[in-house]
Amino acid sequence: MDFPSKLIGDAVTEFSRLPGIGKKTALRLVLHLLNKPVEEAQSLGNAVVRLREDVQYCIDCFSICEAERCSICSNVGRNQDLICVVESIRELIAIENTKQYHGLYHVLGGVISPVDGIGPEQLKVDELIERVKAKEVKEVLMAISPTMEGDTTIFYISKRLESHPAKITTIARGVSFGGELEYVDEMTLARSIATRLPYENYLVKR
Amino acid sequence: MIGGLNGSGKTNLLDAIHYLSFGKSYFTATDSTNVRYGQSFLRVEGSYDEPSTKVAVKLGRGRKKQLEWNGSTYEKLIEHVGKIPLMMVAPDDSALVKGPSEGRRRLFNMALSQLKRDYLLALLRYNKILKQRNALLKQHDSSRPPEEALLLSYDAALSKEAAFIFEERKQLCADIEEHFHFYHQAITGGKEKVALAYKSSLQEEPLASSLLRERSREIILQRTTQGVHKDELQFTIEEHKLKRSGSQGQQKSYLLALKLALHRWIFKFTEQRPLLLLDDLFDKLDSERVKNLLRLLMQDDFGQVFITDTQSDRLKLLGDELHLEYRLLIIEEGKCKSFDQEIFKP
Ligand SMILES: [Zn+2]
Repeated sequence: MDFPSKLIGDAVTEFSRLPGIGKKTALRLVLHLLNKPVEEAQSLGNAVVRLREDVQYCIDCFSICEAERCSICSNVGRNQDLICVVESIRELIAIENTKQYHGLYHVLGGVISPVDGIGPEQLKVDELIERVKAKEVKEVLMAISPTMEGDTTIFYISKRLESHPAKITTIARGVSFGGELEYVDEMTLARSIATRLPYENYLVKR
Repeated sequence: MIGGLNGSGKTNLLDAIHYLSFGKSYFTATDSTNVRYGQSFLRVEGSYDEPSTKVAVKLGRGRKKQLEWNGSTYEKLIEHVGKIPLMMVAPDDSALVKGPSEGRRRLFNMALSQLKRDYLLALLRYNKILKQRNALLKQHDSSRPPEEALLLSYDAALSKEAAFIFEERKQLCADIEEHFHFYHQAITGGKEKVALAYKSSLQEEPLASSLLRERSREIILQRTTQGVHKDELQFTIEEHKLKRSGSQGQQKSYLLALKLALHRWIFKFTEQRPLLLLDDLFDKLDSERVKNLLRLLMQDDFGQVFITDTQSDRLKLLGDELHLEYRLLIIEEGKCKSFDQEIFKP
């Protein structure tokens, strides 16, 4: 695609680097921004820059936040005995949106996959184990995609917690659950959190 | 019946039929080699009577392969496997006897996958777990072994799939034994004593135990040495390995009987007769065995059979002599030169 101005060309190139955005969509976004007041483009640009420059990870759960500890971890009203383990902040947002979960989170940063060079040491697994032991957490809820890598990650974490009395549960992952967590609608997700299963039962049921 | 000289495109035609059943070639695992040199895509289309449908495969260079059933595209290719069951016999099959065990396992996988989606899914999962486990072992060695808890996680996942695959393979072997012997006798006239045996470490103990026992060795070798990916199918003739003591004709007869038994097995469970493709009918078989084979195919009603031979006269003579219901197609330089409009009925 050729553009009459290098400014437009550069902006289109940057937008089209984003997932799901092709050259055509990128051009539409760029032309849209040109039609809007300059302040709107400034606030978009600033938000993007601040997002990357000021981003911090919560020292407890590794979610993204502005302070040392995130708003969920510092909320004493939340159930401190329950930790929900998620792969990324995406799933955390999905579960928060159900408004049905009142415990804490732990963001692993992915799932174990040696083929991709990801072992437990690349993830926040040790931190999770320490946290569960130190805080005497009573239940660890695994909200991890029902893939082979997800299953291995759950199995591994449950092995590491074997000697600890914490109960390990998983969200129900029937056929209807289908693909990855983030695509599940809020109702289904809320229900699967409410009807979560002890991990051993989950193994037997499969 | 398809007649044509060597290199005329007979095998290509059979492979096209195979492509429509499996979404891939019988001969090569790399799709791109199937696209004609200098062309940008391939397309194969087939119309079927039972079930009445049209199947099409589209493959463009650098694009994802697409399979259509009556015009609608499958989300996943594996959904199609088994819809148009098929069994192919080709001269290349001799590698099944002489080559590594992988080919023999693939033969079993091919039959089981056409019948049981669960088997295919378990096999895909098994291979995926195995790949992860091998990657883990590769990244470590005995001076810095992988974490035991992580290995145990893979062991558990692998054993679960392996147990299922093992049971299915064992059952298949038992199921086809009788027909295998019957067909072998019919083709050879009962002159040779043959046997088929399935060997797996899972016959001795569950995979999880053998993995645990072999732990230190696997860490040194940096790969998974135990499991159903090491299973073997033993082909024997007169109590000797077919690979060593069988003549080419004996090996061919053995494989034919085995494939016909698998054909019958698929039919028994699906009530759908797989298409039978016999590439190069006279390959390694004398005319007596060829006639035995064709009589058997008629007698036991194998459904639609595609046969190729370099000599179309020979095919015609054979068809008339054995009172076959057939239609002759002659191929020259990749094109159909003549084609019987009607099926010849004796
Ligand atoms: Zn936090």
